[in-house]
Amino acid sequence: MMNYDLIYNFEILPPQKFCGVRMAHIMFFCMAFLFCFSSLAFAQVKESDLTVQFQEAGISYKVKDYKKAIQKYEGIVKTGWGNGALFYNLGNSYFKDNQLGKAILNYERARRLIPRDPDLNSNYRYAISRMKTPESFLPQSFLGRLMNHYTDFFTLNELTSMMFFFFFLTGIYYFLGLFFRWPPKVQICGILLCCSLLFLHGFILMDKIKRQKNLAVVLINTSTKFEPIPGATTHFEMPPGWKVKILTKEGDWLKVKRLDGKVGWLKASAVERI
Amino acid sequence: MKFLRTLIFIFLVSFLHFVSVVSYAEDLSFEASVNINKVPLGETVQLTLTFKGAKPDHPPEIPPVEGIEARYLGPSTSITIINGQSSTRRSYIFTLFPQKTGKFRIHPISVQLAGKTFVSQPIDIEVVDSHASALSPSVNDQGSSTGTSIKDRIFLTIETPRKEFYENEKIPLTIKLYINGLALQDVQYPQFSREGLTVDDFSQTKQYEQVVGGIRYQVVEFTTNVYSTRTGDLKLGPATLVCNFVFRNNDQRRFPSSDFDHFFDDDFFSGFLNSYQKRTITLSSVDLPVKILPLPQEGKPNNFSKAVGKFSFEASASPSEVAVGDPVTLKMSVQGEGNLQAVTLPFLKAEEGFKTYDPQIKEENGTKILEQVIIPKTDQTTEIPALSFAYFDPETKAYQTIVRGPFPLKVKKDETKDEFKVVGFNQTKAPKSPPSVEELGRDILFIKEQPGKFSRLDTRLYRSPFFILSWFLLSLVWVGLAVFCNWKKRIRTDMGYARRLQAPKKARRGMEAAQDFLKVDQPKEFYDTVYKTLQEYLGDKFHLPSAGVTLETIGEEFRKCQMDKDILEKVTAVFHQCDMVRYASFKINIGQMTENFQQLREIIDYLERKLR
Repeated sequence: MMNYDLIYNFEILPPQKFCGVRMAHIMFFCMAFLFCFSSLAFAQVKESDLTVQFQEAGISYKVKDYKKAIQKYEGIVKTGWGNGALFYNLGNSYFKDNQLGKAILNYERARRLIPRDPDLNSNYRYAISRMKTPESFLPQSFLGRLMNHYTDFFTLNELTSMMFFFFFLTGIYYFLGLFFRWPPKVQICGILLCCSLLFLHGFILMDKIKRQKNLAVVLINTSTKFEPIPGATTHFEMPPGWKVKILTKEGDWLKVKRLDGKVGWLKASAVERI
Repeated sequence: MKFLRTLIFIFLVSFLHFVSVVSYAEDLSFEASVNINKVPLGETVQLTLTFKGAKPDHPPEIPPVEGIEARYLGPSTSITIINGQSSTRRSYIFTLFPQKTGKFRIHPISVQLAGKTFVSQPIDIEVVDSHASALSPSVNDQGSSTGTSIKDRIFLTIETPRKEFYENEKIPLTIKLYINGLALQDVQYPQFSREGLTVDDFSQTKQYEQVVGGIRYQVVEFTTNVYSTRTGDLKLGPATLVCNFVFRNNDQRRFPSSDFDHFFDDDFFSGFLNSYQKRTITLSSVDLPVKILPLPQEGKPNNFSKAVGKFSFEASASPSEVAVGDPVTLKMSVQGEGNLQAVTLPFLKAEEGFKTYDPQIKEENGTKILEQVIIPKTDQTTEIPALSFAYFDPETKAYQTIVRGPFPLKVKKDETKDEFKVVGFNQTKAPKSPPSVEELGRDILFIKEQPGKFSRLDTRLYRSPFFILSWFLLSLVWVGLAVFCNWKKRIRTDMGYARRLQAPKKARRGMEAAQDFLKVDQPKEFYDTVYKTLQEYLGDKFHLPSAGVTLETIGEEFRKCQMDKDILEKVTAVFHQCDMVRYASFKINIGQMTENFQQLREIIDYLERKLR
């Protein structure tokens, strides 16, 4: 049997209004405005500081005080802000300081932000050529190489924007077709083309994200072992600058996979994630 | 056209020539068969003499059988081409008329063909009393009642080549499904008890024809291999097979219930005339006793590992020249006739001067492969010890041992211990010393002096809430616009829908006007407006021309939509009141007008809720 004593009557108060607008709405918009304004101001202050620090590091580089330049550039990176030029300069500084692994690591980071920069690509290729042993890769098909070339040409954000653009274009094309009463064949072909481009770029984006995930660069000459034990047998050795994919972590050890598919264990301090 | 005809003629002549040439080239054979070998008196038996590869000049003669009269029906030729291989069959068909009951034998028929004499097998025929056979279960594909049981027309057998096998020896098992003149569908693989057995997958099924006891059967042959893991007497089978039997529904009288209740229910056959129906049947073979012998203890090698059959064993080691600490891969493979799953391959133990790793074992294309990485501990090592593989050969009934190795190995001291080295990389391809910057005249390009715009390093557009929200909003906009466009299109093209949509708006305007007339007490104008409003509303709602809205049409529509009768009465009352005032100058008071207005409101409210 139901207990009717538990039913209460609530008085619902009308919402408080100012000039016909609810107070809660006014307060929400005020807070949102203040938040945006404060973050904008913070960003402006931050950016000017970072620019000064960037230029100071550049002066240190010019007077060949590479260690100081590295220190200043790394200081900017630690703030969580950066751009392609910062990593490019940091890579140059490490290169001049004879730290090839770190140089390649920072060039790789810069390539993720400014992949079409000719200076960066030139320095990156040169740094690669300075490795004692060239990196070995698994053989790739022509289509795979073409896909990689296309993928490397754009940043993640550019690929994301392109995907958004093709999504926008698909909708626009559909409504233009309706508005101008295009023949169904023209409509379907156009929409199929837009959708194909949309899905192709979605696939490329996913592939790029997958390839970049857990990628690291070897910083020093390191022995890769069969087991994650200090006295374990060496499986192979890797010079600085080689790229590896981190598979798992066990204590101080990382299980890594070389780009040619060989797998081994190495000390976590020997590599750094890109 | 003439050219085409000539071409077809040439093609046909060439084809027939090809067939005749091929037919003479193939093996010759002769056999005699009957369609049934148990028949009631009054029925006939069909005797077929089949020649494969060649044909006699005239039909062979049947040896006379007392009590059976034979008549020659005619010849029949069939050409079969399978995978480019052609075969020709010439059949001579005779009809046998039994004159009395009893058992009869058609003696072997002798035929001279291409200089050889072929003799058929004798065929026994039993002729039974037609009254007695009517009481016994029987079936015939022609629909006539005969003395042949369905069990003689479809059955399952299980066979092995021998009756004695050794433990773990491969036992080839053949299960045959014999079918004589019945239509089967969805034949499944046979099942049998696997207790104490290891069973391979069934190989590709074979289909062919076979004459058994003078009757020609279609045979479906299933083959597999089984391995017994225990010794002693073993029963293989019984094998069971499930399939669908297709038959004509009007043949139900052919299946009396006595023996085949589990196949055919009476209810099942009632209903459809002359239609084909399917019935699932389960066939079962007899079991097959075999004896599993234990492996002899005499001469049994120490390293014997349950491999029974005939095998070949290969082993290799590479590279043959290494430094201390470098890995060497030891590869072994075994292939042959036998249970590969039970075969254990030899591998190197740790105490034999090598550091060893667990072997990797795989099985592919009937070969078992083992790969083991071993590392020589010292430069004193000169060889990898020999590896031996032992198996029992059931043909010779003796153990065999295959030895491979020892494998010579040159181990150098690890002089390059402190140098940079990559295992698996060809050192000769690597540059000996990297060219210096000065030699190449190259260096890195200068730093960038202007930083450009800074941004958060951990932000990714595809992960940002702004992007996800934009994507979501754009999706909403596209979906919303698509729905809107389709709605507009529907309004343009679907007149009924457009009218239904407009009906309440128009009714609201009409009711407002009527209310104005009600306030100023103008009955005639009020009822004019009410009539028009209700007529237009009902016309729009039921997609009728306004002039065609009568009580009859509205009543019909209300019945179709299963409307409340009260509402129809209210509609009738309002229309009646309107007619009274408009045409009969009926005197009416304000209370009546208000009541009619309320009725109008109720009608529209009800229809809006009901016809939403």
